[in-house]
Amino acid sequence: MRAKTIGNKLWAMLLTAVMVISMMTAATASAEESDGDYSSFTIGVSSLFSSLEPNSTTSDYSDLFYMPLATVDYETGDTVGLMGDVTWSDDRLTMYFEMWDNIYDADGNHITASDALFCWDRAKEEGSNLISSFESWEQTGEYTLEFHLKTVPTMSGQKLPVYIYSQAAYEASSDGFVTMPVSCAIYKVKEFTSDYKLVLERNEDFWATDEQIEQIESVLGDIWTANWDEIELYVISESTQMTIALETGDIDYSANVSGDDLELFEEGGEMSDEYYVWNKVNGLTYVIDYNTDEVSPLSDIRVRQALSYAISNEYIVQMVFKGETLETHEVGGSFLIDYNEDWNTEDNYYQYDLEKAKELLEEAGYGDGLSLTLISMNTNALTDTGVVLQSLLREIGVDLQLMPLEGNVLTEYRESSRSNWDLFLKVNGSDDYIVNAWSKVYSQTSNSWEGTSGYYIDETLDEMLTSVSSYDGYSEEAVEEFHEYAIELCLSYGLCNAYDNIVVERGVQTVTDPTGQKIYWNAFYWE
Amino acid sequence: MYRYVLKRLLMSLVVILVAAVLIFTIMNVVPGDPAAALLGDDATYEEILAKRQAMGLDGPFMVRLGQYLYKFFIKWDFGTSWFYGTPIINEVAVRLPRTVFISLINLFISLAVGIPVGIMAALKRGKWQDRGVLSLAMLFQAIPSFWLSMELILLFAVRLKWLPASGIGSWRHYILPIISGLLGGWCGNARTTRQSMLQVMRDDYITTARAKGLPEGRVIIHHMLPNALMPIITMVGGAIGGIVGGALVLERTFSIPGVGTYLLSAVNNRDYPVVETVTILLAAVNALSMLLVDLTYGFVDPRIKAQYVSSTNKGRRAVKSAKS
Repeated sequence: MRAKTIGNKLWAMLLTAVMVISMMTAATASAEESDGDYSSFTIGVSSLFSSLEPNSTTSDYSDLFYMPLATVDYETGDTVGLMGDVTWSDDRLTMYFEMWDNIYDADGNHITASDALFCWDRAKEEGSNLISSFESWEQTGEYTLEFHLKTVPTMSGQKLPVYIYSQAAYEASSDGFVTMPVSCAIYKVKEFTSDYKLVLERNEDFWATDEQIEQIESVLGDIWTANWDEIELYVISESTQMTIALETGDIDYSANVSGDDLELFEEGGEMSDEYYVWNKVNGLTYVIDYNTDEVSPLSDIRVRQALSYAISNEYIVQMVFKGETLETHEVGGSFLIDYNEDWNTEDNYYQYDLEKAKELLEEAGYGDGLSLTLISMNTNALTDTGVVLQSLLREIGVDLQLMPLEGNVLTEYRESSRSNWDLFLKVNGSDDYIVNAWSKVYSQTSNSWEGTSGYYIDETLDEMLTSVSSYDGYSEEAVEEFHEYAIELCLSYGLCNAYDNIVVERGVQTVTDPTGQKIYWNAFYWE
Repeated sequence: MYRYVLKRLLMSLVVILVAAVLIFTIMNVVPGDPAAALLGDDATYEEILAKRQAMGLDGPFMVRLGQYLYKFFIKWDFGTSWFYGTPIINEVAVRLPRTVFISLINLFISLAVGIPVGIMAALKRGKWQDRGVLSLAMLFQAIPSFWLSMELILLFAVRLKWLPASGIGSWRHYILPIISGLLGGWCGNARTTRQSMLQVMRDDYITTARAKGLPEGRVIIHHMLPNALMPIITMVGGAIGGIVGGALVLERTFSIPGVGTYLLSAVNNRDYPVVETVTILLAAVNALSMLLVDLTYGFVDPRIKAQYVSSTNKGRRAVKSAKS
């Protein structure tokens, strides 16, 4: 009996200790105060490259320590030289590039056209898909090159995307730039641990003159401003750890904080004195593709229109995204350069109307209801959107079965049989022009089958898309005409923009390019 | 004995070969196209087909399997990661020490704590020491390691600021992962040791040893423990086999770029060469650890060693009599 009493007491003490420890750990510590110091800006990321080799790393952060010859001004579609000047042939199939003669890498190697040629040849050997638009290229002088395109570029311009570095530096590298590249950008790699940490330090010997910097930045924004001595990227794969890293002040910025923890950093949250949340619309749009194959009830346009009328974009924005994003009335985001804001209020984009939806279903012979399957990737946002769609479509008698799948499985599932799905909920990416967003949805030649992503074949659609995507065919009128025709066919339906919730240290001002899409960490500054 | 060892080594090689064929086959039938995963959503169908060709995915299965086995086992070419473009062996060589360090320290400390605690619990069977050990062991085995890791992080990194929450860089970064693994790890050792000791304690030779007047400590160390070691050795063998791949949860929780996270991201990215190479490595480590366990059995228990030797002699006698 005595032993039992002692045992019970021990149990009670143990459970109390566990409870106390849990309560202690629930208390949070406040991060250290900022001091306007530009010595280091630390970013928490969920993944990082295993290699810094120039043909295997293309991302927002690789643009800090590698440079291509030219990029594109997204507002005008013009190609802007970053390392020289670009001119075009009359037929716009050849680009003439004249490099500046003052380009040096961080080790002092002089970069000339022969180095650029070496870099492009290596990209081809490595099978880089960045150069798929190019037929050939050649060096025509010590500082001049020619690039021959396969087709005339679309109105969104043509980059010269291959990263440039010194051939001598590359050949001297023991591992082919995998861990310690030498390049000619505004930052250079100081330290790299695969899948863990990347530390960049400002290149104090950056070759560009003040005039060159001013010329580029007048067009593209603060692309070459290097405010921070060091930029550090840390991989934190666990979302809770990401929040902890912000709380402890180990990182200053993260775009990977889980939705559940965001309220800590929003106005009124425990950490809102140290951080704020930047809601940034990203280049993705939530879109539904309709299966127009005869095996699906959606082959009848009235059924597609009925579903479109029954979907309330506003409701989805409120229920899934807590009102923190924008509706769209296209398959591309409303932030895109040539998106017409009048489209938001026009009548013909299936504004929410349940009665109209029911009427159309009745006409199509589904007045008693029907059962459909929606497939999507199994991310939180897409799954939640699917659930809301389920409730919306139930109002018109549609029983929507949800099938969220892992990315690679989804592709194979969709391609294995046309009868596997009726609606495909996805994110459509484009960060510049609406016509590029259209290409991904309405192109009839980029899939393994003939037809659009929903199997629709239409010659007029194909011709209009080709025309509006071309440099000569693109115009405001052509965009409007395609928009109207796409609505008429009702092949896909845009819901809302996707956005990132980025937690930033309070006091740090963020900087993006003029389109608001590309983030320039290098140019962030203290208020 | 040497013949036995050689025979076992050859058998291990067969096991590794079978594992290689199995994993290659499995990776080729799971859903998902690695070329599409690599190129992303913007790739056209033609680009994906071209990439598949460049990756060697368009040939017949048996030809690809043969080429793979030849490269791996004959040329010792362990391939290059499709996703990262780096030689797999280089990446594993960098990551392996981190994984092994955590796992080995966990193993040693778990054994150093678990075995004595298990012995004590067995000797004090039914008393508060025994009940305490069993209760704690049950508690720590029931608690999810992930939750435990988070609580330790919140306490020591966030609240007390004594230790870093994640990453690598100094010895201090490894303390929390090791403690997290340790708290769950010693329980199994303690319980197995206790059970094994309890079985041995009732044997006649223990009673005889005590009746002869031997000190209790000598009875425990020289008579009980050697006979109770067999299940413990089996347990340790399994733990050694898990050294390379067993720290995945800890690596992910603490953002440690080890072999576990490398394998996990390869599976998600359909990076076949990495999955195949790392899995074969795990199979090899497990096969060798089992061999080590069997040899240790022979070392600890002379009866088992005699069996190994006699089975080899039986084979030789059978061959001799067949010839004559």
